[in-house]
Amino acid sequence: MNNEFIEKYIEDASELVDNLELKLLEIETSSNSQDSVDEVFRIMHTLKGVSAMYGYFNIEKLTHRLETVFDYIREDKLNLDKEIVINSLKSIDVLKNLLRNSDKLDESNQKILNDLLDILSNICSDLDTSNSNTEKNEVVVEQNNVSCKTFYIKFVPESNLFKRGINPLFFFEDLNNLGKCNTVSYIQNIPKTNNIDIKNCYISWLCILSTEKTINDLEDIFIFASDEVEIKQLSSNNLLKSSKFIESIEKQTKTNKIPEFSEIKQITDNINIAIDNISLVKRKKEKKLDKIQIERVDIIKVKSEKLDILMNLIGELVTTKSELQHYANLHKDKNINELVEKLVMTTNDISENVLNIRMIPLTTLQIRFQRLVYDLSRELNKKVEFVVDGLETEIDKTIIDKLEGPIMHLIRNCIDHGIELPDERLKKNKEEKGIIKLFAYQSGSNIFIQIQDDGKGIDIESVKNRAIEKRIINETKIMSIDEIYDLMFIPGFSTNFTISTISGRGVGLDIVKRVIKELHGEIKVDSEQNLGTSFNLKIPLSLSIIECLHIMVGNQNFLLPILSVDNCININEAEFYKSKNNYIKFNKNLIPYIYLRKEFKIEEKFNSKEKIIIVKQFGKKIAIIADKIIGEHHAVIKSIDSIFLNQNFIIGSSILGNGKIGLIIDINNLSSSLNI
Amino acid sequence: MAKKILVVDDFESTRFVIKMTVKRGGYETYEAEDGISALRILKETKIDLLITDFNMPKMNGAELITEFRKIPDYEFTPILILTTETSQELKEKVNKLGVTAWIQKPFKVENLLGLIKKLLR
Repeated sequence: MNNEFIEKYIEDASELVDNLELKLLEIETSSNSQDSVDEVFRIMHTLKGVSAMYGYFNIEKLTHRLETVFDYIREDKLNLDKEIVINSLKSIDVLKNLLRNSDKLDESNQKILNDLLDILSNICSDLDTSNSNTEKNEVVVEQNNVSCKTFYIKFVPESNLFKRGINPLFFFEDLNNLGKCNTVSYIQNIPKTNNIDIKNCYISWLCILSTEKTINDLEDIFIFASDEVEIKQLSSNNLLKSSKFIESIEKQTKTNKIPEFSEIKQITDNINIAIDNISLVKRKKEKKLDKIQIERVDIIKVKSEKLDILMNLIGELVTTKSELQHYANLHKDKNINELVEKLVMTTNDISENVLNIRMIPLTTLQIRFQRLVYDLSRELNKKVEFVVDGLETEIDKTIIDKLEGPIMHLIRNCIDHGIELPDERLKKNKEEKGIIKLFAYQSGSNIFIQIQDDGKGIDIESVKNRAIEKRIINETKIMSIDEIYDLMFIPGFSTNFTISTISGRGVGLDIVKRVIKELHGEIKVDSEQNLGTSFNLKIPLSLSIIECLHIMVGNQNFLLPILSVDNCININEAEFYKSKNNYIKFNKNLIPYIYLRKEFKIEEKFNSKEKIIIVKQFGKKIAIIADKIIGEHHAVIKSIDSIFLNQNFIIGSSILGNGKIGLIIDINNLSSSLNI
Repeated sequence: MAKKILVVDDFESTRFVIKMTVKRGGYETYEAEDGISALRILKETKIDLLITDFNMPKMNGAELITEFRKIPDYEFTPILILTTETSQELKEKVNKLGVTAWIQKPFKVENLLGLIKKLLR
C-alpha cells in the first residue's frame, strides 16, 4: 500500500489514541463520565475500523476488545472500575507501541498484548454468554450505517446462453449474497413443446436488489453477459424494507412483460420520501458519531517545515518592507508613501496571521501531563489531584515542543519531592490528596506558566548544605533566598541523595533552566515550607517576529519589545536622583534608570534632547535613557553571533529599514545584570 | 479433484504466463500451441475450461471453438479467449460462436485468475 496513506493513517490513529488517553483520564478523575465513556467507545470504534483497513490487525484486535468493554459500560451492563481504567491505559501504551512499529511487537510486548487481550475478554466473558445478542445487534447497526441502495436488474439473455458455457443460476446466487434480492422469472417466451430446443435459454428475469455494494460490483457479476443485462439504481434507500413498495412491485410484475426501469422508478419516488423521513430519525441518533468527523474536516494539517519556510519568507518580506518604508521616507514621494503604507498594513497582517497559524494550545500537552501525574502518583503511592487552567493559551509550536520536557520534569519534581505521602499529609493536617496545579496565561508578548504543588516546600537549609557539600558555594557565603533557590538550577546539584528512577531521568533542573533560556524565557521559584512550591515560567509567545520600539544612542540602534514599553518622555520631564542608586522621579514614582550610553560605552556625540523610555517588567518600572526614539519596528529576529554568547541582555538582532542592524534588548536581563 | 484447463496459444511465453497463473489457482493445466494439437488433447482428456488465443496459425481460434462446441462433452463448457481487440463486432462474433468470456492482452495476472475462478465454480 502507498506509504503516504500509511503515514496519514498513523498520524490519524495517533491522534485518536491521544484523544483516547485524555478521555480515559477524564473518566478517572470525574464522577459524571457518561460522555467520556461514549467518546471512548466511539474512538475505539473508529480506530478499529481504520486499522483493519490498513492491515494493522493487532490494533484492530485490541481496539475491538476495548470497544466491547466500553459498549457494555455504556449500556450499564458493566461497571467502570479501576481495573478497567488501568487496563485501558495499558492498552494505550501497547497501541502507541504498535503504531510506532508497524503493528509488530517484540516477544515481551507481544506477551503484554496477549495478556491484555485475555484480561479484557475475561472482563466481559460473563456478559458475552448472557448477552450473545449484543454482538449480533452491533453487526446489524453497522449495516444500517452504510447506506443500502436499491437496484433494478433486468436480465434478458440470448438464447445461446447455455451454449456459451454460462450457468445463469450463479448470477442469482451471487446477487443473493450481496443483499436482499426479490427475483421474478418471465417464462412466456418458452415455445410450444414441439418447437423447443432444450439447449436454449428462453427465460428472462427481473431482480430488485437492496445492497450496500456499488453498481460496479453488480455489473461484475454479469461480466459474461454484460450486453444482456440492464442494471440501474432505483433509490439510495433500502426500498425492500417498505412493504408498500413490495406490494406495488408484485402488482407490476404480474404482467407477462418485464416492467421497464422507468415504470418501477415511478413507484419508488413516492416511497423514497417516506423512507427519507425514517432515515432522518435514524441519522439523528448517529449524529454524535458524525460530529467528530465533521470537526476534523475543518482542519487542514500542514507539515511544520512548510510553515517554517513560510515564516522565513515572511521574515524576508518584512525586512524588505522596512527597507522600502525607509526609502519612501527619504524621498517624501506622496504616491510611494501611500503605496508603502498599504504594503505595510498588508505585510503586518500577513505576518500576524502566519504567526497565528503556528500557534497551538498547550492543551496538546495536557494528556501527557495528566498521564504522568497518574502513573507517577501510583508508582510512589501518593495521592495527587492534577488541576489545570488556561491551557487553551496558544503558543508557538516550536516552543511547545521544547517546553514539554521541562514542564514534565517540573511536574515530576513536584510529585517526587513536593507532595508528601498520604499519612504524612494527614499528620500535617493537610488533605490526604495533594494538588498539583498547572496554570498558563498570556500577558503581553509572553506566556506565563506556573507549576505549583501544595507539598512540603523547599528546605532552604538542606539546599544550602547540599551546595556547600558539592562545593558549589562557600560555607561562609551569605545568600538571599532567591539566590539559594537558584542553586538548584546549577548543573550537578541534586538534593535527592539517591537518584530515584523518577526524578533522575536525565533531565535535571539545570537542563530545565537551559531550555527555558534557549527560548529566551525565565524560570523563578517560589516556595514556602509546608505550604508548597511554585515554579513560574515566563516564555515569549513567538521566537520569530516581535514588535519593537526602535531607539538610538549615538549611531547605535537598539530595539525594545514594544509590549513592555509603558511610556516615553522627554528628559526634562523627570527629576534625577543620583544618590546611592540611580533613580528618576516621574509622576511621583521613583524609577531606577539605565543609561544606555554609559552601559554600552557609546562615545559618539551627545544629544541634549535625550529621551526616557519607561518600561514595565514583572510589575516593576525601569527607565531607559536613549538619544532618539525612531519609531516602531516589526523585528524579524535573527540570532546573534557567538561572540555575544557571554551576555544575556541582547537576545537577538534585526535588520532595520535602512539596512543597519538593531540589537534587541532584554530589559529584564539587563536590569538584573546591573543589579537594578 | 483439481479442475483441468487447456491453454492454447502459439506463443510459448504467453502459455507460460497463463500456466503459472492457473497453477497458482490450484488447477491442472494442459497446453497446446495450435488448434489441431488442442483438439487431440481434448479428445484424450475431459477438460473443464478452454483458454485460447483467437489469432493463431494452422487452425485459428474461431475454428477451434466451433470444433470444440461440436464435441458433445464440451457443449456447455466455458471458453475464455485471449484477444488484442474488444470491438463490438468481435464481441458479437465470439458470442455466436459460444465463447463465455474474453480477456484483452496484455492482461493482469490477478484479473485472469479472477475470471478463471468465476468460470470454474
